[in-house]
Amino acid sequence: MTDRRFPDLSDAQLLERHLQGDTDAFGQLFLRHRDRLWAVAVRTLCDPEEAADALQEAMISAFRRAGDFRGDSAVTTWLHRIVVNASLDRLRRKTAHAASSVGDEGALDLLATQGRVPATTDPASVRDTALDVEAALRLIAPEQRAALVLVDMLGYPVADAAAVLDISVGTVKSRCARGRARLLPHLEHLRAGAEGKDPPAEERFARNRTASGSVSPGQGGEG
Amino acid sequence: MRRRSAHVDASVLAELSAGMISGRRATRIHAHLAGCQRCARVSAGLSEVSLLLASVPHSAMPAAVTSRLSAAIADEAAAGTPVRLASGETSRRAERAGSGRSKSRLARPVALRGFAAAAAVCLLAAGGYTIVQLTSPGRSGPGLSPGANAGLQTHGGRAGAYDLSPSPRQGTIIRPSLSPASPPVFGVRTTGTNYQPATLGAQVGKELSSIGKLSGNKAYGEPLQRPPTAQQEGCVLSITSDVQPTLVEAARYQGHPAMVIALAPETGQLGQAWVVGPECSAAKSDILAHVQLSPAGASQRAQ
Repeated sequence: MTDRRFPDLSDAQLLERHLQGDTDAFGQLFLRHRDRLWAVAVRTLCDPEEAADALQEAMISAFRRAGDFRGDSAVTTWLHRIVVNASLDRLRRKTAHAASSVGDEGALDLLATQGRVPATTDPASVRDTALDVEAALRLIAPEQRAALVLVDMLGYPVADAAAVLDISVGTVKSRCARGRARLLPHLEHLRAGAEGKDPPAEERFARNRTASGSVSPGQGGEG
Repeated sequence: MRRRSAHVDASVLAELSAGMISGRRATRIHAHLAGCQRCARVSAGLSEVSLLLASVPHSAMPAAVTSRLSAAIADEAAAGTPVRLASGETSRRAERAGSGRSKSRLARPVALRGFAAAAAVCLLAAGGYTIVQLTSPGRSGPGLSPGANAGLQTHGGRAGAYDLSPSPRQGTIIRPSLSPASPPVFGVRTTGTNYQPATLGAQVGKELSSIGKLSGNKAYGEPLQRPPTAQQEGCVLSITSDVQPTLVEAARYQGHPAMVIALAPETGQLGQAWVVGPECSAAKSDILAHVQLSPAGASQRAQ
Protein backbone atom coordinates (compact mmCIF):
# COMPACT_ATOMS: atom_id res chain seq x y z
CA MET A 1 0.00 0.00 0.00
CA THR A 2 1.05 3.53 -0.40
CA ASP A 3 1.08 4.53 3.23
CA ARG A 4 2.89 7.81 3.02
CA ARG A 5 3.81 8.26 6.61
CA PHE A 6 4.15 4.65 7.60
CA PRO A 7 5.39 2.90 4.52
CA ASP A 8 7.50 0.32 6.28
CA LEU A 9 5.56 -0.31 9.42
CA SER A 10 3.85 -3.64 9.93
CA ASP A 11 0.31 -3.73 11.20
CA ALA A 12 1.53 -4.64 14.66
CA GLN A 13 3.96 -1.72 14.66
CA LEU A 14 1.19 0.62 13.56
CA LEU A 15 -0.96 -0.59 16.40
CA GLU A 16 1.91 -0.03 18.80
CA ARG A 17 2.32 3.51 17.49
CA HIS A 18 -1.37 3.98 18.11
CA LEU A 19 -0.93 2.89 21.69
CA GLN A 20 2.00 5.24 22.03
CA GLY A 21 -0.30 8.12 21.17
CA ASP A 22 0.26 8.54 17.44
CA THR A 23 -3.07 9.94 16.33
CA ASP A 24 -2.66 8.87 12.71
CA ALA A 25 -1.63 5.29 13.19
CA PHE A 26 -5.02 3.71 13.64
CA GLY A 27 -6.54 5.62 10.74
CA GLN A 28 -3.78 4.26 8.57
CA LEU A 29 -4.41 0.73 9.77
CA PHE A 30 -8.04 1.18 8.83
CA LEU A 31 -7.14 2.51 5.38
CA ARG A 32 -4.85 -0.45 4.77
CA HIS A 33 -7.53 -3.02 5.40
CA ARG A 34 -10.72 -1.20 4.69
CA ASP A 35 -11.65 -3.02 1.51
CA ARG A 36 -11.42 -6.49 3.01
CA LEU A 37 -13.20 -5.40 6.17
CA TRP A 38 -15.87 -3.82 4.02
CA ALA A 39 -16.30 -7.01 2.03
CA VAL A 40 -16.74 -9.00 5.23
CA ALA A 41 -19.29 -6.61 6.71
CA VAL A 42 -21.31 -6.03 3.57
CA ARG A 43 -21.51 -9.74 2.72
CA THR A 44 -22.37 -10.75 6.26
CA LEU A 45 -25.00 -8.07 6.71
CA CYS A 46 -26.27 -8.02 3.11
CA ASP A 47 -26.83 -4.30 3.42
CA PRO A 48 -24.34 -1.50 2.74
CA GLU A 49 -25.86 0.94 5.20
CA GLU A 50 -25.85 -1.59 7.98
CA ALA A 51 -22.35 -2.60 7.01
CA ALA A 52 -21.12 0.98 7.24
CA ASP A 53 -22.66 1.37 10.67
CA ALA A 54 -21.27 -1.94 11.88
CA LEU A 55 -17.83 -1.06 10.57
CA GLN A 56 -17.86 2.30 12.29
CA GLU A 57 -18.86 0.64 15.54
CA ALA A 58 -16.16 -1.97 15.05
CA MET A 59 -13.42 0.50 14.19
CA ILE A 60 -14.16 2.73 17.16
CA SER A 61 -14.26 -0.31 19.40
CA ALA A 62 -10.94 -1.57 18.00
CA PHE A 63 -9.48 1.90 18.40
CA ARG A 64 -10.37 1.94 22.06
CA ARG A 65 -9.53 -1.67 22.80
CA ALA A 66 -6.22 -1.72 20.96
CA GLY A 67 -4.50 -2.45 24.25
CA ASP A 68 -6.36 -5.76 24.41
CA PHE A 69 -4.58 -6.97 21.32
CA ARG A 70 -2.16 -9.56 22.59
CA GLY A 71 -0.25 -10.37 19.46
CA ASP A 72 -1.28 -14.02 19.54
CA SER A 73 -2.92 -13.55 16.15
CA ALA A 74 -2.34 -11.25 13.23
CA VAL A 75 -3.66 -7.72 13.64
CA THR A 76 -5.87 -8.34 10.63
CA THR A 77 -7.38 -11.41 12.27
CA TRP A 78 -8.18 -9.32 15.29
CA LEU A 79 -9.71 -6.55 13.16
CA HIS A 80 -11.73 -9.07 11.16
CA ARG A 81 -13.00 -10.64 14.38
CA ILE A 82 -14.21 -7.30 15.70
CA VAL A 83 -15.94 -6.54 12.41
CA VAL A 84 -17.60 -9.96 12.17
CA ASN A 85 -18.79 -9.72 15.77
CA ALA A 86 -20.15 -6.23 15.25
CA SER A 87 -21.97 -7.44 12.13
CA LEU A 88 -23.46 -10.50 13.80
CA ASP A 89 -24.46 -8.47 16.87
CA ARG A 90 -26.24 -6.06 14.60
CA LEU A 91 -28.11 -8.89 12.90
CA ARG A 92 -29.15 -10.35 16.25
CA ARG A 93 -30.40 -6.99 17.44
CA LYS A 94 -32.31 -6.55 14.23
CA THR A 95 -33.98 -9.96 14.35
CA ALA A 96 -34.85 -9.34 17.96
CA HIS A 97 -36.58 -6.16 16.86
CA ALA A 98 -38.48 -7.21 13.77
CA ALA A 99 -39.97 -10.51 14.80
CA SER A 100 -38.78 -12.13 11.63
CA SER A 101 -38.18 -12.37 8.03
CA VAL A 102 -39.49 -9.65 5.84
CA GLY A 103 -36.01 -9.67 4.42
CA ASP A 104 -36.25 -13.32 3.50
CA GLU A 105 -39.38 -12.80 1.49
CA GLY A 106 -37.87 -9.81 -0.21
CA ALA A 107 -34.93 -11.94 -1.11
CA LEU A 108 -37.16 -14.71 -2.40
CA ASP A 109 -39.06 -12.23 -4.51
CA LEU A 110 -35.82 -10.98 -5.88
CA LEU A 111 -34.76 -14.52 -6.68
CA ALA A 112 -38.04 -15.15 -8.40
CA THR A 113 -37.92 -12.04 -10.53
CA GLN A 114 -34.27 -12.38 -11.39
CA GLY A 115 -34.87 -15.55 -13.30
CA ARG A 116 -31.97 -17.33 -14.80
CA VAL A 117 -28.79 -15.57 -15.62
CA PRO A 118 -28.09 -15.81 -19.33
CA ALA A 119 -24.96 -17.78 -19.96
CA THR A 120 -23.13 -14.93 -21.56
CA THR A 121 -19.90 -13.78 -20.14
CA ASP A 122 -20.02 -10.02 -20.16
CA PRO A 123 -19.48 -8.13 -16.92
CA ALA A 124 -23.20 -7.37 -16.70
CA SER A 125 -23.94 -11.04 -16.24
CA VAL A 126 -21.23 -11.29 -13.62
CA ARG A 127 -23.15 -8.61 -11.79
CA ASP A 128 -26.42 -10.48 -12.18
CA THR A 129 -24.83 -13.60 -10.78
CA ALA A 130 -23.56 -11.53 -7.91
CA LEU A 131 -27.09 -10.27 -7.23
CA ASP A 132 -28.48 -13.78 -7.23
CA VAL A 133 -25.78 -15.02 -4.92
CA GLU A 134 -26.32 -12.10 -2.58
CA ALA A 135 -30.05 -12.73 -2.49
CA ALA A 136 -29.50 -16.41 -1.75
CA LEU A 137 -27.01 -15.60 1.00
CA ARG A 138 -29.71 -13.71 2.84
CA LEU A 139 -31.62 -16.92 3.22
CA ILE A 140 -29.11 -18.78 5.31
CA ALA A 141 -28.25 -18.44 8.98
CA PRO A 142 -25.92 -15.52 9.72
CA GLU A 143 -23.31 -17.76 11.32
CA GLN A 144 -23.21 -19.99 8.26
CA ARG A 145 -23.08 -16.94 6.06
CA ALA A 146 -20.18 -15.43 7.99
CA ALA A 147 -18.22 -18.67 7.62
CA LEU A 148 -18.95 -18.91 3.89
CA VAL A 149 -18.06 -15.27 3.36
CA LEU A 150 -14.63 -15.82 4.85
CA VAL A 151 -13.88 -19.21 3.35
CA ASP A 152 -15.64 -19.36 -0.02
CA MET A 153 -16.05 -15.72 -0.95
CA LEU A 154 -12.87 -14.22 0.42
CA GLY A 155 -10.81 -17.36 0.14
CA TYR A 156 -9.33 -17.38 3.61
CA PRO A 157 -7.89 -20.66 4.82
CA VAL A 158 -10.27 -22.47 7.16
CA ALA A 159 -7.79 -22.02 10.01
CA ASP A 160 -7.79 -18.24 9.51
CA ALA A 161 -11.57 -18.19 9.40
CA ALA A 162 -11.64 -20.21 12.61
CA ALA A 163 -9.35 -17.66 14.27
CA VAL A 164 -11.55 -14.79 13.09
CA LEU A 165 -14.77 -16.46 14.19
CA ASP A 166 -13.19 -17.76 17.37
CA ILE A 167 -14.50 -21.26 16.79
CA SER A 168 -12.84 -24.55 15.95
CA VAL A 169 -11.76 -25.52 12.47
CA GLY A 170 -14.32 -28.32 12.56
CA THR A 171 -17.10 -25.89 13.36
CA VAL A 172 -16.07 -23.65 10.48
CA LYS A 173 -16.13 -26.62 8.13
CA SER A 174 -19.48 -27.73 9.38
CA ARG A 175 -21.01 -24.26 9.08
CA CYS A 176 -19.66 -23.94 5.56
CA ALA A 177 -20.93 -27.39 4.61
CA ARG A 178 -24.41 -26.73 5.94
CA GLY A 179 -24.44 -23.29 4.39
CA ARG A 180 -23.54 -24.68 0.97
CA ALA A 181 -26.24 -27.31 1.27
CA ARG A 182 -28.78 -24.61 2.14
CA LEU A 183 -27.66 -22.42 -0.75
CA LEU A 184 -27.73 -25.17 -3.34
CA PRO A 185 -31.46 -25.10 -4.11
CA HIS A 186 -31.40 -21.32 -4.41
CA LEU A 187 -28.47 -21.28 -6.78
CA GLU A 188 -29.48 -24.29 -8.85
CA HIS A 189 -30.60 -22.08 -11.68
CA LEU A 190 -27.09 -20.67 -12.09
CA ARG A 191 -25.56 -24.07 -12.49
CA ALA A 192 -24.54 -25.54 -15.77
CA GLY A 193 -25.93 -28.98 -15.16
CA ALA A 194 -29.22 -27.85 -13.69
CA GLU A 195 -31.86 -30.35 -14.78
CA GLY A 196 -31.44 -29.63 -18.46
CA LYS A 197 -32.43 -26.03 -18.04
CA ASP A 198 -29.27 -24.73 -19.60
CA PRO A 199 -27.91 -25.88 -22.89
CA PRO A 200 -24.86 -27.92 -21.96
CA ALA A 201 -22.69 -25.98 -24.36
CA GLU A 202 -23.13 -22.84 -22.36
CA GLU A 203 -21.40 -23.92 -19.23
CA ARG A 204 -20.83 -21.16 -16.79
CA PHE A 205 -19.32 -23.38 -14.22
CA ALA A 206 -17.70 -26.56 -15.21
CA ARG A 207 -18.99 -29.73 -13.71
CA ASN A 208 -15.64 -31.08 -12.93
CA ARG A 209 -12.22 -30.89 -14.36
CA THR A 210 -11.70 -34.47 -15.36
CA ALA A 211 -12.69 -33.71 -18.92
CA SER A 212 -9.86 -31.26 -19.33
CA GLY A 213 -7.70 -33.19 -21.72
CA SER A 214 -4.69 -31.04 -22.22
CA VAL A 215 -3.25 -30.99 -18.77
CA SER A 216 0.43 -30.46 -19.13
CA PRO A 217 1.79 -29.91 -15.67
CA GLY A 218 5.06 -28.15 -15.36
CA GLN A 219 5.61 -27.67 -19.06
CA GLY A 220 8.15 -24.94 -19.11
CA GLY A 221 9.89 -25.53 -22.42
CA GLU A 222 11.14 -22.92 -24.76
CA GLY A 223 8.87 -23.45 -27.70
CA MET B 1 -22.27 -51.92 -1.36
CA ARG B 2 -25.42 -51.45 0.64
CA ARG B 3 -28.79 -50.11 -0.26
CA ARG B 4 -28.27 -47.77 -3.12
CA SER B 5 -31.78 -46.48 -2.89
CA ALA B 6 -31.37 -44.35 0.25
CA HIS B 7 -30.26 -40.97 -1.03
CA VAL B 8 -27.70 -39.01 0.91
CA ASP B 9 -28.72 -35.69 2.37
CA ALA B 10 -27.13 -32.63 0.75
CA SER B 11 -25.67 -31.49 4.05
CA VAL B 12 -24.01 -34.88 4.50
CA LEU B 13 -22.57 -34.64 1.01
CA ALA B 14 -21.34 -31.17 1.83
CA GLU B 15 -19.68 -32.48 4.98
CA LEU B 16 -18.09 -35.25 2.96
CA SER B 17 -16.53 -32.82 0.51
CA ALA B 18 -15.43 -30.59 3.37
CA GLY B 19 -13.42 -33.55 4.62
CA MET B 20 -15.48 -33.99 7.75
CA ILE B 21 -16.46 -37.56 7.12
CA SER B 22 -13.94 -40.34 6.96
CA GLY B 23 -13.54 -44.05 7.41
CA ARG B 24 -16.24 -46.56 6.65
CA ARG B 25 -18.97 -43.96 6.51
CA ALA B 26 -17.10 -42.05 3.82
CA THR B 27 -16.48 -45.27 1.88
CA ARG B 28 -20.16 -46.08 2.04
CA ILE B 29 -21.19 -42.67 0.77
CA HIS B 30 -18.62 -42.76 -2.02
CA ALA B 31 -19.96 -46.13 -3.07
CA HIS B 32 -23.46 -44.77 -3.12
CA LEU B 33 -22.35 -41.75 -5.15
CA ALA B 34 -20.77 -43.98 -7.73
CA GLY B 35 -24.09 -45.58 -8.44
CA CYS B 36 -26.56 -42.78 -7.82
CA GLN B 37 -26.86 -40.06 -10.41
CA ARG B 38 -29.10 -37.93 -8.30
CA CYS B 39 -26.71 -37.75 -5.36
CA ALA B 40 -23.71 -37.35 -7.65
CA ARG B 41 -25.45 -34.35 -9.18
CA VAL B 42 -26.09 -32.83 -5.77
CA SER B 43 -22.48 -33.42 -4.84
CA ALA B 44 -21.23 -31.73 -7.99
CA GLY B 45 -23.66 -28.91 -7.36
CA LEU B 46 -22.24 -28.33 -3.92
CA SER B 47 -18.76 -27.73 -5.24
CA GLU B 48 -20.23 -25.40 -7.80
CA VAL B 49 -21.80 -23.43 -4.98
CA SER B 50 -18.31 -22.71 -3.68
CA LEU B 51 -17.13 -21.69 -7.13
CA LEU B 52 -20.15 -19.48 -7.53
CA LEU B 53 -19.51 -17.78 -4.21
CA ALA B 54 -15.87 -17.26 -5.14
CA SER B 55 -16.86 -15.77 -8.48
CA VAL B 56 -18.69 -12.83 -6.94
CA PRO B 57 -16.40 -9.82 -7.26
CA HIS B 58 -15.86 -7.63 -4.25
CA SER B 59 -16.20 -3.94 -4.60
CA ALA B 60 -13.91 -1.66 -2.71
CA MET B 61 -15.25 0.25 0.26
CA PRO B 62 -17.34 3.09 -1.15
CA ALA B 63 -15.72 6.47 -0.91
CA ALA B 64 -18.48 7.88 1.23
CA VAL B 65 -17.96 5.16 3.79
CA THR B 66 -14.19 5.56 3.76
CA SER B 67 -14.53 9.29 4.37
CA ARG B 68 -17.07 8.83 7.08
CA LEU B 69 -15.07 6.19 8.92
CA SER B 70 -11.78 8.05 8.53
CA ALA B 71 -13.47 11.08 10.00
CA ALA B 72 -14.92 9.08 12.86
CA ILE B 73 -11.51 7.62 13.61
CA ALA B 74 -9.80 11.01 13.39
CA ASP B 75 -12.47 12.35 15.68
CA GLU B 76 -11.82 9.57 18.13
CA ALA B 77 -8.08 10.23 17.90
CA ALA B 78 -8.65 13.89 18.61
CA ALA B 79 -10.37 12.90 21.82
CA GLY B 80 -7.27 10.95 22.81
CA THR B 81 -5.63 7.67 21.90
CA PRO B 82 -5.84 4.77 24.31
CA VAL B 83 -3.04 4.00 26.71
CA ARG B 84 -2.07 0.52 27.72
CA LEU B 85 -2.15 0.13 31.48
CA ALA B 86 -0.09 -2.37 33.39
CA SER B 87 -3.19 -4.50 33.84
CA GLY B 88 -3.57 -4.81 30.11
CA GLU B 89 -6.66 -2.64 30.18
CA THR B 90 -6.69 0.51 28.18
CA SER B 91 -7.75 3.92 29.20
CA ARG B 92 -7.90 7.06 27.23
CA ARG B 93 -5.08 9.51 27.02
CA ALA B 94 -5.99 12.97 28.30
CA GLU B 95 -8.19 15.05 26.03
CA ARG B 96 -6.15 16.98 23.60
CA ALA B 97 -6.55 20.65 23.03
CA GLY B 98 -8.21 21.80 19.82
CA SER B 99 -10.38 18.75 19.47
CA GLY B 100 -11.56 18.23 15.93
CA ARG B 101 -15.11 17.29 16.78
CA SER B 102 -16.50 19.51 14.07
CA LYS B 103 -14.95 17.31 11.43
CA SER B 104 -17.18 14.33 11.88
CA ARG B 105 -20.25 16.48 12.13
CA LEU B 106 -19.71 17.27 8.52
CA ALA B 107 -18.58 13.90 7.41
CA ARG B 108 -21.09 11.69 9.16
CA PRO B 109 -24.41 12.68 7.67
CA VAL B 110 -23.37 11.52 4.24
CA ALA B 111 -26.37 9.59 3.07
CA LEU B 112 -25.63 5.99 2.31
CA ARG B 113 -28.96 5.29 0.75
CA GLY B 114 -28.81 4.69 -2.96
CA PHE B 115 -25.34 3.33 -3.44
CA ALA B 116 -26.08 2.98 -7.11
CA ALA B 117 -25.84 6.72 -7.46
CA ALA B 118 -22.69 6.75 -5.42
CA ALA B 119 -20.48 8.76 -7.74
CA ALA B 120 -22.04 12.09 -6.85
CA VAL B 121 -22.13 11.21 -3.19
CA CYS B 122 -18.48 10.22 -3.35
CA LEU B 123 -17.52 13.56 -4.78
CA LEU B 124 -19.43 15.39 -2.11
CA ALA B 125 -18.04 13.29 0.65
CA ALA B 126 -14.47 13.50 -0.50
CA GLY B 127 -14.77 17.20 -1.11
CA GLY B 128 -16.38 17.80 2.21
CA TYR B 129 -13.71 15.92 4.03
CA THR B 130 -10.93 17.72 2.28
CA ILE B 131 -12.46 21.07 3.06
CA VAL B 132 -12.71 20.19 6.69
CA GLN B 133 -9.08 19.18 6.67
CA LEU B 134 -8.04 22.45 5.15
CA THR B 135 -10.16 24.66 7.34
CA SER B 136 -9.30 23.25 10.72
CA PRO B 137 -5.79 24.53 11.34
CA GLY B 138 -6.68 24.78 15.01
CA ARG B 139 -6.30 21.03 15.23
CA SER B 140 -2.62 21.14 15.94
CA GLY B 141 -2.82 21.02 19.66
CA PRO B 142 0.21 20.57 21.86
CA GLY B 143 0.27 16.85 21.30
CA LEU B 144 0.32 16.98 17.54
CA SER B 145 3.56 17.44 15.71
CA PRO B 146 3.44 19.22 12.36
CA GLY B 147 4.23 15.89 10.84
CA ALA B 148 1.19 14.31 12.37
CA ASN B 149 -0.92 17.08 11.02
CA ALA B 150 0.42 16.61 7.55
CA GLY B 151 -0.33 12.94 7.87
CA LEU B 152 -3.94 13.61 8.61
CA GLN B 153 -4.27 15.76 5.57
CA THR B 154 -2.72 13.04 3.55
CA HIS B 155 -5.52 10.73 4.59
CA GLY B 156 -8.10 13.13 3.26
CA GLY B 157 -6.23 13.54 0.04
CA ARG B 158 -5.81 9.84 -0.46
CA ALA B 159 -9.41 9.10 0.22
CA GLY B 160 -10.36 11.74 -2.26
CA ALA B 161 -8.07 10.39 -4.92
CA TYR B 162 -9.61 6.95 -4.66
CA ASP B 163 -13.12 8.18 -4.38
CA LEU B 164 -13.29 10.05 -7.61
CA SER B 165 -13.20 6.94 -9.74
CA PRO B 166 -16.79 6.27 -10.77
CA SER B 167 -16.37 2.61 -11.59
CA PRO B 168 -15.26 -0.26 -9.41
CA ARG B 169 -11.67 0.45 -8.59
CA GLN B 170 -9.25 -1.28 -10.90
CA GLY B 171 -6.10 -2.82 -9.63
CA THR B 172 -7.29 -2.92 -6.07
CA ILE B 173 -4.36 -3.66 -3.87
CA ILE B 174 -5.45 -5.28 -0.70
CA ARG B 175 -3.59 -7.44 1.73
CA PRO B 176 -4.77 -10.83 0.57
CA SER B 177 -4.27 -12.98 3.59
CA LEU B 178 -4.68 -12.51 7.25
CA SER B 179 -1.04 -13.03 8.03
CA PRO B 180 1.14 -9.95 7.89
CA ALA B 181 2.97 -11.07 4.79
CA SER B 182 4.54 -9.00 2.07
CA PRO B 183 2.19 -6.65 0.28
CA PRO B 184 0.29 -8.13 -2.65
CA VAL B 185 1.03 -6.76 -6.02
CA PHE B 186 -1.82 -7.63 -8.32
CA GLY B 187 -5.57 -7.75 -8.73
CA VAL B 188 -7.49 -10.59 -10.32
CA ARG B 189 -9.58 -9.68 -13.34
CA THR B 190 -12.76 -11.62 -13.64
CA THR B 191 -13.73 -12.31 -17.22
CA GLY B 192 -15.69 -15.01 -18.90
CA THR B 193 -13.07 -15.52 -21.58
CA ASN B 194 -12.89 -19.15 -22.59
CA TYR B 195 -9.27 -19.80 -23.45
CA GLN B 196 -8.52 -22.62 -25.86
CA PRO B 197 -5.29 -24.59 -26.29
CA ALA B 198 -4.87 -23.66 -29.95
CA THR B 199 -5.38 -19.95 -29.48
CA LEU B 200 -4.09 -19.48 -25.95
CA GLY B 201 -1.09 -17.37 -26.88
CA ALA B 202 -3.06 -15.13 -29.20
CA GLN B 203 -5.85 -14.73 -26.67
CA VAL B 204 -3.47 -13.80 -23.89
CA GLY B 205 -1.59 -11.47 -26.22
CA LYS B 206 -4.82 -9.70 -27.04
CA GLU B 207 -5.69 -9.46 -23.37
CA LEU B 208 -2.27 -8.01 -22.57
CA SER B 209 -2.51 -5.42 -25.29
CA SER B 210 -5.93 -4.40 -24.03
CA ILE B 211 -4.37 -3.80 -20.61
CA GLY B 212 -1.78 -1.60 -22.27
CA LYS B 213 -4.52 0.47 -23.78
CA LEU B 214 -6.54 0.83 -20.64
CA SER B 215 -7.94 4.28 -20.51
CA GLY B 216 -10.26 3.56 -17.65
CA ASN B 217 -13.28 5.29 -19.06
CA LYS B 218 -15.19 2.47 -20.61
CA ALA B 219 -18.06 2.03 -18.22
CA TYR B 220 -18.63 -1.67 -18.56
CA GLY B 221 -15.89 -2.64 -20.93
CA GLU B 222 -13.40 -3.26 -18.19
CA PRO B 223 -13.45 -6.61 -16.49
CA LEU B 224 -14.21 -6.52 -12.82
CA GLN B 225 -11.19 -6.89 -10.66
CA ARG B 226 -10.81 -8.24 -7.16
CA PRO B 227 -7.98 -8.80 -4.78
CA PRO B 228 -6.44 -12.24 -4.95
CA THR B 229 -7.41 -14.77 -2.36
CA ALA B 230 -4.60 -16.08 -0.24
CA GLN B 231 -4.60 -19.23 -2.32
CA GLN B 232 -4.49 -17.30 -5.58
CA GLU B 233 -1.69 -15.11 -4.37
CA GLY B 234 0.33 -18.10 -3.27
CA CYS B 235 -0.33 -19.79 -6.59
CA VAL B 236 0.58 -16.78 -8.72
CA LEU B 237 3.71 -15.84 -6.85
CA SER B 238 4.98 -19.39 -6.81
CA ILE B 239 4.39 -19.70 -10.54
CA THR B 240 6.01 -16.40 -11.46
CA SER B 241 8.73 -16.89 -8.83
CA ASP B 242 7.59 -13.76 -7.02
CA VAL B 243 7.68 -11.63 -10.13
CA GLN B 244 4.75 -9.27 -10.36
CA PRO B 245 2.39 -10.63 -13.02
CA THR B 246 1.15 -8.36 -15.79
CA LEU B 247 -2.16 -10.14 -15.91
CA VAL B 248 -4.06 -12.40 -13.57
CA GLU B 249 -7.43 -13.37 -14.87
CA ALA B 250 -10.10 -15.62 -13.47
CA ALA B 251 -11.48 -17.10 -16.66
CA ARG B 252 -12.11 -20.47 -18.26
CA TYR B 253 -9.95 -22.92 -20.12
CA GLN B 254 -11.76 -25.28 -22.43
CA GLY B 255 -14.93 -24.39 -20.62
CA HIS B 256 -13.61 -25.09 -17.14
CA PRO B 257 -12.80 -22.56 -14.44
CA ALA B 258 -9.17 -21.62 -14.64
CA MET B 259 -6.85 -18.77 -13.92
CA VAL B 260 -4.57 -17.20 -16.48
CA ILE B 261 -1.31 -15.71 -15.28
CA ALA B 262 0.86 -13.75 -17.68
CA LEU B 263 4.13 -11.89 -17.70
CA ALA B 264 4.25 -9.50 -20.64
CA PRO B 265 7.17 -9.87 -23.02
CA GLU B 266 9.91 -7.33 -22.57
CA THR B 267 12.71 -6.29 -24.85
CA GLY B 268 14.94 -9.26 -25.33
CA GLN B 269 12.73 -11.48 -23.25
CA LEU B 270 9.78 -13.62 -24.16
CA GLY B 271 6.62 -13.26 -22.15
CA GLN B 272 5.06 -16.19 -20.34
CA ALA B 273 1.51 -17.27 -19.83
CA TRP B 274 0.24 -20.06 -17.65
CA VAL B 275 -3.20 -21.52 -17.25
CA VAL B 276 -3.79 -23.05 -13.85
CA GLY B 277 -6.68 -24.97 -12.41
CA PRO B 278 -8.67 -24.13 -9.27
CA GLU B 279 -6.39 -26.28 -7.14
CA CYS B 280 -3.41 -24.06 -7.75
CA SER B 281 -1.82 -22.77 -4.56
CA ALA B 282 1.59 -21.96 -3.17
CA ALA B 283 2.06 -25.65 -2.50
CA LYS B 284 0.63 -27.05 -5.70
CA SER B 285 1.01 -25.50 -9.12
CA ASP B 286 -1.84 -27.27 -10.98
CA ILE B 287 -0.64 -25.95 -14.34
CA LEU B 288 -2.95 -26.85 -17.20
CA ALA B 289 -1.03 -25.15 -19.97
CA HIS B 290 1.92 -22.87 -20.58
CA VAL B 291 2.92 -20.77 -23.56
CA GLN B 292 5.63 -18.28 -24.29
CA LEU B 293 4.69 -14.96 -25.75
CA SER B 294 6.71 -13.08 -28.31
CA PRO B 295 6.57 -9.28 -28.24
CA ALA B 296 4.23 -9.14 -31.22
CA GLY B 297 1.67 -11.09 -29.30
CA ALA B 298 2.18 -14.19 -31.40
CA SER B 299 2.88 -17.21 -29.32
CA GLN B 300 4.89 -20.32 -29.38
CA ARG B 301 3.42 -23.29 -27.71
CA ALA B 302 5.51 -24.82 -25.06
CA GLN B 303 4.99 -28.29 -26.34
